[in-house]
Amino acid sequence: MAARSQLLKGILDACVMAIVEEKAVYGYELSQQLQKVGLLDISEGTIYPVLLRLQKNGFIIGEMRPSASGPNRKYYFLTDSGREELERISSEWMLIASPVSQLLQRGENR
Amino acid sequence: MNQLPLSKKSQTFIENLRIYLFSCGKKTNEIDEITDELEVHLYEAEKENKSVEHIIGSSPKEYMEQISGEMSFDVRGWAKYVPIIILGAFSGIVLKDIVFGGFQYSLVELIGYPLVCIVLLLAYMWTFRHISSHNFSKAKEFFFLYLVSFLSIAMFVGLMFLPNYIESPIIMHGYYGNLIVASMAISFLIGISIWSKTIVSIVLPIFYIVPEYLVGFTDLSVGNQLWISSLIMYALIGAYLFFEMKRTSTSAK
Repeated sequence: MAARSQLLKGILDACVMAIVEEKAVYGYELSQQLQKVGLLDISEGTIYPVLLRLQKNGFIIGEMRPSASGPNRKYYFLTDSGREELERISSEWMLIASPVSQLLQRGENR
Repeated sequence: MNQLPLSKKSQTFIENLRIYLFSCGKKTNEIDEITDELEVHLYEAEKENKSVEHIIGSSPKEYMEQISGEMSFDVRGWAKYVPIIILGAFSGIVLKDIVFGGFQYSLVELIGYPLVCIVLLLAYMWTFRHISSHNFSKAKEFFFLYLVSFLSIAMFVGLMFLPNYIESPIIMHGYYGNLIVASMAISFLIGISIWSKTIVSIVLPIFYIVPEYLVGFTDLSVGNQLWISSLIMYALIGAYLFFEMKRTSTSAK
């Protein structure tokens, strides 16, 4: 569980950007989306330091929007440089994910 | 602030996070943004019976550090605040000295006062950060606040006696010199009050000077005058802060 969280930390920025790329989301909705795809080990609040970092780097921007069922919400959008960064991380991930998986499976089969 | 109907635990966490980030020197508008956002999250999570722990994990301190680590230090803001706080404190001290006898400082004091103010400012910031990031009991919180208050008194008292041990030139003013310095100090404190849109820079020097001045007319011994005037001063500051907090929480609602 702790190991999984550690592994996820490195790739969480990309996971968040991937969701934001699909559609603009607000914090709570984003955390639910991450859980829905199976990333259950991330405590919901973990996304906020990530969102702050991504905003600081100019990869996403936030915009306040009114909500029909409660307080105003801050929705996030991917910027052009965010899109470039997501592509870069995705291709990097593809380069390491496959060999790492093969290597670890080889270990399992021993 | 959203002022959403949150549980006591969530409210306390949001308030502590606000204090923590402010004492880390983060920008006020960024603090408002992130706390508002977390408030909305906690509000929606509580509707689904999720706890604060579920949202932030088991360590509020660790979570606050994570948030703080991603926010920039408000260099320009603090570059404004620090000199204003130091000069404001110094104006109050100068005014009191003029009321009780006139402007007369050694070079050691003139260098020492700003240094003491900087040290105390850092000490208070650290204390608030420490208290807000731990779930201390009220008694423990008071202990830390008492400790930093004691440090303030000890440092100022130390500075009073320091010129006896370190010789340095003494700067004195006559009647008109005192009048000019007092006018400058009063103008500066009024200026801070207009700039900050609060009366804190006016009431604090009044609480600092007036009780001691009035108690001076009594027949009490010097020792008794000192602790009674200090007691009145702290009581007035406490009462002011209490009513100010009540006023702001009422206006927020």
